[in-house]
Amino acid sequence: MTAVLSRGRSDAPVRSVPGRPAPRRRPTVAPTWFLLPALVVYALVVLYPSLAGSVLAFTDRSGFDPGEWVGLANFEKLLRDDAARAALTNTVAVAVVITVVQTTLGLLLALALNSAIRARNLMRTLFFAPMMLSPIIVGLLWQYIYTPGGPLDSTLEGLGLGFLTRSWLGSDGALWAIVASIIWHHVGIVMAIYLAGLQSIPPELTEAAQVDGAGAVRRFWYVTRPLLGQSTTIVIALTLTASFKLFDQMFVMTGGGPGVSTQTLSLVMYQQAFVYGEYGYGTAIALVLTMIVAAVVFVQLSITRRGEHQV
Amino acid sequence: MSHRTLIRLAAVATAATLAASLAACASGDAAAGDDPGSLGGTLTLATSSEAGISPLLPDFESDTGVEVETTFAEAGALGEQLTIQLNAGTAPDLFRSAPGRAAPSAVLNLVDAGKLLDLSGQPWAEHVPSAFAPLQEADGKLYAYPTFGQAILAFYNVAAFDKAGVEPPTTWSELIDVLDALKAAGVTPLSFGFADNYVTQFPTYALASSLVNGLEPDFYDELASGETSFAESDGWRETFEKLFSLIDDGYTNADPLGTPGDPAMQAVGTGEAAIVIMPSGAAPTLVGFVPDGWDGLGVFALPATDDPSETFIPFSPDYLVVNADAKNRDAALAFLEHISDPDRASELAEAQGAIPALKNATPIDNPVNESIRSYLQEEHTSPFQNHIWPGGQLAAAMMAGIQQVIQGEKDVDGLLADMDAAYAEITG
Repeated sequence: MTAVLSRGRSDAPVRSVPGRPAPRRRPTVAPTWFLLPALVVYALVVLYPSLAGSVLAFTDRSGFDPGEWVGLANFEKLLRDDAARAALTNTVAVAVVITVVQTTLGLLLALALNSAIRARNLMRTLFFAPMMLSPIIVGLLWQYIYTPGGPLDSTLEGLGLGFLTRSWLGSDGALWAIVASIIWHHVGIVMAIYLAGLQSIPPELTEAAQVDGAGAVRRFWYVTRPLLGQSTTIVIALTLTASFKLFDQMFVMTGGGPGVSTQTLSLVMYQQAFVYGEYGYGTAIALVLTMIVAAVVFVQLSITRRGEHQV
Repeated sequence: MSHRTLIRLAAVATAATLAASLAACASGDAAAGDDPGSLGGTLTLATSSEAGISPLLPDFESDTGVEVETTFAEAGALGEQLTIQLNAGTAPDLFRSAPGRAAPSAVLNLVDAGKLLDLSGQPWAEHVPSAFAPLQEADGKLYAYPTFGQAILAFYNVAAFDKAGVEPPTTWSELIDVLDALKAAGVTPLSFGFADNYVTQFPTYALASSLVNGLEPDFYDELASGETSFAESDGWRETFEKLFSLIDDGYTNADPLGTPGDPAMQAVGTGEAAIVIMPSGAAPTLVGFVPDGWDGLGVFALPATDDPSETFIPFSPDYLVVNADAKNRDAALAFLEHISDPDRASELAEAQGAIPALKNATPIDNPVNESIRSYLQEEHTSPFQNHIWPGGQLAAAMMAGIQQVIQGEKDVDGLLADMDAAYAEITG
């Protein structure tokens, strides 16, 4: 392998003159000041309300009752709540499956559409187009597609695959039917991130590997994949975060049913806080969800960043 | 003219002026509705549908000089938004509220929180049906204006009934005969769109109205006092057993849990299925699916027993309430008086596909109103069950439980136990 790869972030000097040590850019305060207005707005509309709101998790506030301090009672209730536990199981399962399948599919699409196939720009647009739709519209669209005797069943029957038809949203498989619609919706953005990553890889690296006798699979595994490390980090972080807070499609397509088979933590949180007015308990669920997402993404970032390589 | 005469004239003129002023003052309050031209200002109004309300605004605005700022949003979302606004003190003057305690923003919950104005003395109050009292009164005071009523009814495709040669049933046995005849004629007898879990409520409440409210009128009092439970109620058990028997015996579409509410109605509109059980508010949508419009659609009350006189129908009002902290309270009260006019009350209800709620409203001649008139007159109505319940968690437990029974994950005992658990959790 002739390619030289460096690991981690590059600390290379900005500009070097032969024979002299490279001058380092002097740290300047100005960019910090430029950030300040955005930071102030962020602190006011995101940080402060979030921190102030999280106090509710330790109260029994409901409806118009300001409630009282109850310590960890809401968290104990969460541990005993069968529906919330089922929702947590669903949420974790959905996050894992979506992250694995969506990342793999997005990468395969990017690899395919980064080649010299005809109409690749049209194909890129078509695969990215669902991203332009709102999750609510996608939910309604797929609810219709999954209707018994609807477009999906008719297509399967037309292809002689009638034995595959089933109650898409009315059975235990509803969760995976919804997951499929979510992957259809979001795979385009994964593809776009990987396409950007692929296009930043100098072609001479893969050409050199080819000259060295590496086949397509080995070129991908030893050259392309490591150099897509940063793209993978971004894709997995975004997908995991979005999957853990899934709400819209479940809300529109099944409302968490049948029974509680498509409940997610976000849906339970919404129902408790806004449908039943149990603000204290709803906030406790939100806090737990936030901590789970933060922990998972922290672990994911520390793992995937180790595998990042730069040219 | 002598000095004395001048004094007399001045005295008479002063007295006449005073009398005229007093008369004007005296008539001032009473005339708020007759000549409210001096009201002015802005009235903020938030409700769930533009239909019926918007056409009533121009006259009100020109009569009173009040500018009405409206917000229209789906009922559930509106309720959630209003709860937050009421907590923040930014709620509109006049807004839609659900009956009873069905949601945090429902009438009686808002009364407990001191958020609503007492409307007992309003001129339309005497025309509010007494049956609505448990849903809108507290301590003998009336807190809500019933804009219209919704009934849960069985809507049927007339052509499908003609094809099977059947008439609307009046007893449970007749209903089963009709379903058998429809099945034999190749029509799906009942269309259930239970993928939308809220739709599970409609046939359930339609059966429970007769089997619980009709045959066990003391059930909710006994439930509140701890003397009974859902599991111990014969009416509730029979309600669910009859509901699930309709599915188990093959009278419904093959996949009720996979079918959303709209396609279920569409199937009846096209004649693929014969009967769908929905609230009257769904009638305008349903009629839109039927090629012949109202000519192709019939309505009947769902029977639950073999005695037609035991049939009750679920009938609940929809409300407008006045914010206790309304910025333009007079305009809010004047608006309610404006829409309580018998013709306007009727116009509003008709636009909503609903039934006028005030007793003095002009009757509407359409199939929905005709089908329920006798039940209203005989007071064979009950509120939707969730409007009587103490919190939304109970309806949620029931909806999830119904779906789980259909999936085979639970039985009727388990469903009733879930409802008792939810009731216990709400009532503490």
